[in-house]
Amino acid sequence: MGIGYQIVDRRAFDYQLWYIADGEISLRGPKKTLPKAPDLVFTGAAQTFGRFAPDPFPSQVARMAEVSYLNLGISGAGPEYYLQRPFLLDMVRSGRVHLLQLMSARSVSAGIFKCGRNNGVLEFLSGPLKGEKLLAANAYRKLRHKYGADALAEQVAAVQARWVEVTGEMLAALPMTTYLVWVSTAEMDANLRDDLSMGDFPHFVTAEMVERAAAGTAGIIDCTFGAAYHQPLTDQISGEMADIFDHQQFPGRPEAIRSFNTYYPSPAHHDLIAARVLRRLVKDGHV
Amino acid sequence: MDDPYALIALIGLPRSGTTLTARMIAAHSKVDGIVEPYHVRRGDNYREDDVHALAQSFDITPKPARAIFVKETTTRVANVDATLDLLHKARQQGVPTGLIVLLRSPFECYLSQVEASQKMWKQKSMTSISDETFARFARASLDGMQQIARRGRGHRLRFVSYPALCADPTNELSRLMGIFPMRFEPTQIALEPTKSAGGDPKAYAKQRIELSDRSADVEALLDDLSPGPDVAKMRKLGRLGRELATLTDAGAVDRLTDIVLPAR
Repeated sequence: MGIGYQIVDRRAFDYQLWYIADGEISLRGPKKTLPKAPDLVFTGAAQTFGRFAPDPFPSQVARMAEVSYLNLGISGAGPEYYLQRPFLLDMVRSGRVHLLQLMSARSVSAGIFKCGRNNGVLEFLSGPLKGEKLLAANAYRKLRHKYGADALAEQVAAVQARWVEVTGEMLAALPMTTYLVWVSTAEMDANLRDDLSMGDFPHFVTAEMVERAAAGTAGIIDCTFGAAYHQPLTDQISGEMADIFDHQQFPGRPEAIRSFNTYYPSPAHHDLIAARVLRRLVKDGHV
Repeated sequence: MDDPYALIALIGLPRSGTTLTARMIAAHSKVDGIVEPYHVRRGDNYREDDVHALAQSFDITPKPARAIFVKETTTRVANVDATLDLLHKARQQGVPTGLIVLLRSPFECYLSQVEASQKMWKQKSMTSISDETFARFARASLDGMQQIARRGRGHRLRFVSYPALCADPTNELSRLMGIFPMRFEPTQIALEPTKSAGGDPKAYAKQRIELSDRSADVEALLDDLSPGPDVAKMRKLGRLGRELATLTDAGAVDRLTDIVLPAR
């Protein structure tokens, strides 16, 4: 019964969520009839869902290629989210070509963290913060401060190993033409930081991990969009800038960027990602 | 900043399931429902267009992170106009607004209206099936829908088919609650008989979300009615309801506009 971004972003966006599986899964709208055999199925996290994008890349690709599609992008999702929901895997298998956005290694259960319902929330399993549940970014920040740099390094190694396993399990469960889609501000490995800080999305995922996951797939589509971005978020009613990132939920965010998207692909980035995905699908004769 | 409260309205043809749908929506713990304020007070020519004043006159205080929900029908075009005025003014005041349009076969609604007029309503204005009563029903329905097509686009929109809601209440109600935006609560569909709060009294006795099958009666009705432009438009409105599953809300309001507004 997720509604997440629809509430947080309510002043600026109406994602027109619609629901399947007795309200358990909310999908990016507008609502559509589920195609029995969609040409393209997209899985991934908030970038695929299209947070802050009126026209996310999955819908653009399908429209330009004039094919049917399903956007199963779920905010905060990691591979486990799909593996734990066989009906979602069935929906993916109903498609002809699968485009799997490479998801964050932050969103897998391993080491000291267990993922919550949508994978974006982590629970501490041991130590001084045992039982505490936090958004992944905050959880890793606290891990570093309360448990120390060694614990953080251990944790990163644990989730990286687990990410390869669960991504592999997800791909093994989906024996169809699958592309891995790298959606990031940075090229592979440039998303990492030497000091073990979070780096860029997909967090902690290395080029080597992606190469290992890519074995047996149709390949990797590099959608690095690189440029710095500050997408203004405006109130749909007043037309004025909207402080989507409020003090209550985002106490540490600098005041100057409370009404800017500085993290997710902007609408222009979605255009770019769509163009790259489409180009590859055309080149390989899938659309 | 606190979340502002929202104002969401639901409009449908009379006897299209608006009361039961409103009952489910208003059963949400953060929704304050007002059922047919303009219809109930029509004798006083009630036209309040300020949401604060309207809420107060129904003993509701608008509160942050809650929503005021108003349900009306197209029984009188004045009800629809007043509801759209209310939404419009609220939006000008910075209140997030939304409009839910409920669709059901207009012929089923008409048959049900005749039945209700015979058995339930004090005002016996439509107690028999005839071209004349159908024409009145169709005119009010189409005029109301015309107002929605003309003036409803300034608000967040959700179109919903009553049969689809009956067939899949959890998913459909979850989708509707997204316009508030609030999480669906399972208690919304756990219907217990309750005191009438306006609208169709039978809807408050219902413990199940169900759809009466009137298809045979509708076929007979269509054989009896004299063809004409309003019958044709009502057929199209019925088709729009059946095809909602294949349309986006933006597509649905475009289709509605094509049906109810004059071509030139």
